[in-house]
Amino acid sequence: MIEFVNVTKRFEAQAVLEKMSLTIEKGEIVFLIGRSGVGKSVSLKCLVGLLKLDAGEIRFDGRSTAELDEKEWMGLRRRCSLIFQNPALIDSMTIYDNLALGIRAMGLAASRSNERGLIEREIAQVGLDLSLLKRYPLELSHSTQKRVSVARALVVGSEALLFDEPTTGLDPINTARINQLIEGLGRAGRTIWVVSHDMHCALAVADRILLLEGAHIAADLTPKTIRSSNHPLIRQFLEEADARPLH
Amino acid sequence: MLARFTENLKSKVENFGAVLRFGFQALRLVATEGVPPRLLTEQLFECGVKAIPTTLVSGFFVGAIMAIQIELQLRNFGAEGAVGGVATSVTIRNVGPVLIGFILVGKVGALTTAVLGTMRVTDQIDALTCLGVDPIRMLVAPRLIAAIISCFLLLTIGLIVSVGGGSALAWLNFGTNPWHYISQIPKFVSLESLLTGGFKSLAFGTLLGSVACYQGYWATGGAAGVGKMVRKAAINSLVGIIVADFFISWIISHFLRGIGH
Repeated sequence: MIEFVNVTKRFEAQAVLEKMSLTIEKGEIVFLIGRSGVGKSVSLKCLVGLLKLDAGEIRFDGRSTAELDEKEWMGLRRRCSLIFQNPALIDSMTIYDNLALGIRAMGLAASRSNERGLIEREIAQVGLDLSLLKRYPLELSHSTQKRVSVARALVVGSEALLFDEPTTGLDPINTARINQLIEGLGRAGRTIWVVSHDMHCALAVADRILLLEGAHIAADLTPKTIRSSNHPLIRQFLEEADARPLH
Repeated sequence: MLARFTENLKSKVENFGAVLRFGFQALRLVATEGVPPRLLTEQLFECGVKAIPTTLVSGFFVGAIMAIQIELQLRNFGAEGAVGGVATSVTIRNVGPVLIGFILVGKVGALTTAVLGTMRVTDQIDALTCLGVDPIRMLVAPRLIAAIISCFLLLTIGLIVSVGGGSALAWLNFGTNPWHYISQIPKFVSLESLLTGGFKSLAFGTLLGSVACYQGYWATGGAAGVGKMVRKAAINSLVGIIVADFFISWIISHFLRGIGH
């Protein structure tokens, strides 16, 4: 479903991604781990067209993103939603209006009652109360805002969800909630790509775990095979996870 | 030293070019797709209505200051009776548009850059793009159009108040009959003065709106980055208004000389 073929992305002279290749199949839950600042989030932004590639190719369902015009990009972004590290909700709008943004821009609802139905269904799916719809983002906790941002991606009917550091800054209870949500969405058939350095989460939820190091994919493992890896950074991530078990 | 100066100048010119392209892109979008009316109304309230009290106070005192200064000059030539006309002409052609531009830079430009900058560094602008919403149409176009309309309307309001301020001062200080003060205005304020003032206010509104939106829209570097962009937007807008004022005045004077005015 998602393919990176020799993707290179530079910021001035520094290559953040250098001939990076990966494949994510439909319905897979894939975690991309790596140290901070190695380009994990950059890879997600390249996929949805927020950043332009310097070289290489990204394919979504076999179609190169280089061929897409503006309308087709909108179609891709509908099918493949990025959930940012910040909840990125529009402060000046209510939660309802935030959720309605994508529906209206993409013309997905035939009527206002249809629109409300879509929004209420997805807000319930992420485990939130409908009374939140009238409130503003800054009246909600950070973890609730994160769940709203997931609902905002679901409401446009995305088949693939891209999570950028979904549990960063959350307490263990809310981390577990988000992990359950990701796992549930994955098991329901959606393709999930999570960028994270949370090995606990990766071990609990992922089908595959990729390591981004040296601007390319340095390891491609599963939760079962990862413990036999000799890669020093993988060992470091595992030791760190074992030293801080989840309660 | 010279190389650094040249590099700095080159960067400023490139930045100015980028601002112009950005403003043009937003205006082209307005021409082809229009502006969402609700968003424009919100911005007109933020940009125009909220600046009215400041404009009223500033306009009144500018009129009074102009009356004092010009009366002192004209008295040397025994022409103090013309103070109303000369003061209003100077205000409409130059002082008014520049002053309104400065007020909007402080009241609206800084707010616009800060809001858009915060939206950029918290990924709100990227999130809009991912949802299929054009951020230029939703965020930039209403703010830019509101700045242009507000600049023009506030100039009109400020000008009327400045006539009130000037005539009140002339009456209290020099005993000039307010009706005499006002009756001098048509003798000095021509259609060309009105067009010059109007054109300048539209140009300054476009300039300050484009600069404020551009700097905020492309902010980087978190809260500190947004702060720097607000400062940069304020400086660039103020300097830009002064430079644009010179060029517009220069071009208009050459044009008028050319047609034998």
